[in-house]
Amino acid sequence: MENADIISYLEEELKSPEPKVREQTIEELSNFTDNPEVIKLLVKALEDENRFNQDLVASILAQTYMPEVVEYLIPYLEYRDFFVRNLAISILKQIGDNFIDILVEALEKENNHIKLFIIEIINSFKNPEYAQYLLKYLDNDDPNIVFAVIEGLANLGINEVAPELKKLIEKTDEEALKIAAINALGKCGDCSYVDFLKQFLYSDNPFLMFSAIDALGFLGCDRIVDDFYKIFEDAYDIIKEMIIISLIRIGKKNNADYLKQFDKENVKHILLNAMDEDDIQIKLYAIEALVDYMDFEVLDKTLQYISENEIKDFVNNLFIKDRRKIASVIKNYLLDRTLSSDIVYFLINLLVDCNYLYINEIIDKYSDSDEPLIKESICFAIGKLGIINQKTKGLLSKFIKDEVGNVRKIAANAIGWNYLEEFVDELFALLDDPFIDVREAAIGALVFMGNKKVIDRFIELLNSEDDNLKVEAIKALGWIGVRDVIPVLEESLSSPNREIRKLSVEALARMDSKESAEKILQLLYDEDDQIKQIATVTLANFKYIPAIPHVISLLSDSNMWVRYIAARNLILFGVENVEEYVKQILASDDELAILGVLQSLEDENYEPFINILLILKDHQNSDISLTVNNILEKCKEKGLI
Amino acid sequence: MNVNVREKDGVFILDLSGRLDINASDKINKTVDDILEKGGKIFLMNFSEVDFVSSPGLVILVSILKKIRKEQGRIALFNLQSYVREVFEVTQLTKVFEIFESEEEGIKSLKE
Repeated sequence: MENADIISYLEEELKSPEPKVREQTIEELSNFTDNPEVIKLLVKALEDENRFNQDLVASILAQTYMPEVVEYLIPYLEYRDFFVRNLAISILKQIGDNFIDILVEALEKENNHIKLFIIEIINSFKNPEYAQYLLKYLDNDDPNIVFAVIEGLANLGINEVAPELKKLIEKTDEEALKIAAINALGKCGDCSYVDFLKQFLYSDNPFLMFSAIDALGFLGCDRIVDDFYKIFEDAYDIIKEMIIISLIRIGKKNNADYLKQFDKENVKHILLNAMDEDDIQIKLYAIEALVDYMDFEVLDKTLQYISENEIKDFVNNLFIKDRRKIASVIKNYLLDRTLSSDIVYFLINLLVDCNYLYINEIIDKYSDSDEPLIKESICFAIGKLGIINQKTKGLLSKFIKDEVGNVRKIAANAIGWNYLEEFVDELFALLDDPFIDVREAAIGALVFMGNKKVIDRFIELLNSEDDNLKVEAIKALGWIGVRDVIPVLEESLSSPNREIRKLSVEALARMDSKESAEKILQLLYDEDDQIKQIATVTLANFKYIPAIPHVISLLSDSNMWVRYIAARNLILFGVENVEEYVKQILASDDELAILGVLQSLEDENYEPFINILLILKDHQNSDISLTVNNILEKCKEKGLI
Repeated sequence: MNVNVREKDGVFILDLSGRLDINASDKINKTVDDILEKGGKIFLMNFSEVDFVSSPGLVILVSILKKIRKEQGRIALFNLQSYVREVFEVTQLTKVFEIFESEEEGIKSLKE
């Protein structure tokens, strides 16, 4: 069947009344997204009545970097169903930057409705180079479009657009546009715009006055400070709030305190009042100002103004300023309120993130909660912060048997990190847990402890009937990595279980247990080729000279990789001990072994082999001749030839 | 185990090399104690030359973490070799320590 036939068939299938059939068809079509016809079909499939299928199409299109996707989606920006329209916007935001020319062309051609969304999409790219496309629409007849352009320019914050914003402020009679442009000028302008903006401080219109104060605060030039003082006394409360916020901003920029002449309590009062404003932005400004200017203790008072919905914004905005001080505010919030479990989880984890140790009261308050998320966060806090006392130990003994797997898992972590030996039995019991995450956490905790009691218990497990448990035990003993486990690992080298032999030799190698070399030697004759290779590398790294003839014998092994590894690692035994063997390999027909030896030659050990290398430089195998010629180049540089 | 100390922007960088096991305890603890005594609080441990960490080595690290935290300090690690990273993952200490890819990244985050 030709591709075209398949696509025609799939086009028909897309009309199926069965959503499942259409879903499968969409998935099939995703294999042909280099075909514009298929893209057309997929874009059309955005109209599918099944939401899941619509999402599926959107995710395919968002990963299809073809200009046709952009072209075909543009008409959907005015589609009657807002869900489809939003999908189109979201896809274009994801891929449109690659095809900006198509968007710009559409911006010129399309109606205002589509224009508005294209501007929104271009704004989302936040690319200063695109300011040129936006500026053209700053004098558009449709105020919605102008508003969107101003918003985009403000986000870019580049000085080049400031003259255009100024012109707009001078020209427009639309109050909302003037206000938006003043705000944008604050973000894009510089001190040369202070005098221009100053006129609005004395305007009768409080909205213009407010935005000018905000903008002047952003500009941060101190010559406006006296004007702020002048208008302060007679200003509305909200204007006073903005003046204080702006004075703090300007002060910050100029490393000065322009609030000195105000009574500190009064400033605090004004800022706390600002927290009462409906506008979340003002509220956040005020919090920021409080943090910058005031003692952090005042933040506690701000909590009464912060709703549960706003708390995430609140902490995310302030967290970067001083994690530790913010922590005490969060603590009080957790103690004073009754909160949903996801907020408690979020806030406790935040406290843990900033290593806030004073959380005993929080543990007391929430320790009886049945909510898994709260139990998880308490467990994590106890574990990570190391809050260990009778109360928290009691909680851990309860949580380690909790019905929720994740709680058991985090309890195991907490026990391990804090070396709570009295829970070793409970941790071993978790090795039978139905959840793999819980079993892994228990092993991790036991490995961390790694004491005599733990080692003995793992050794007992080596006698278990369960092969998987044996493997886990040997793995854990390897991770523990203390000398006490060496005899057990050595014994396990002759286990009938291949995985156990492999893990044992790997662990001994990591532990640099040179005294185990004689026992590892037997693995050079293991039935498993991979184990032979690991044993070869280990013995060569140990420089265990008695192993040399055995490694040489591996050069005739039936497995080519065993031969290669033997040749590759021979030199590690020391050139003086293997020189003759290396020469024999270089003179042999085994190309892989020759290559292995060549790759192992280092700067300091070329010399004994120069003559033979000169013969090999024209070897018919290009990998060999290339490697040899590289080595010879280095020999030349060092004056060896 | 060898421990060399450098200071960069108020961050004490400990370049560790060798095997982090029970034998490293005295050396590493003494180094940290000396720095804390002199008022240093921000530590960044360079693990690029550490090729092995045993259980006691991990316990040493966690006890150092607790000691530094008690003094209101911070500690982070960077450049963990693959095997050492595996040990941290097995014991889930990746959730306890801040771990970075490079010195620059570590310093930047610790200075925040």
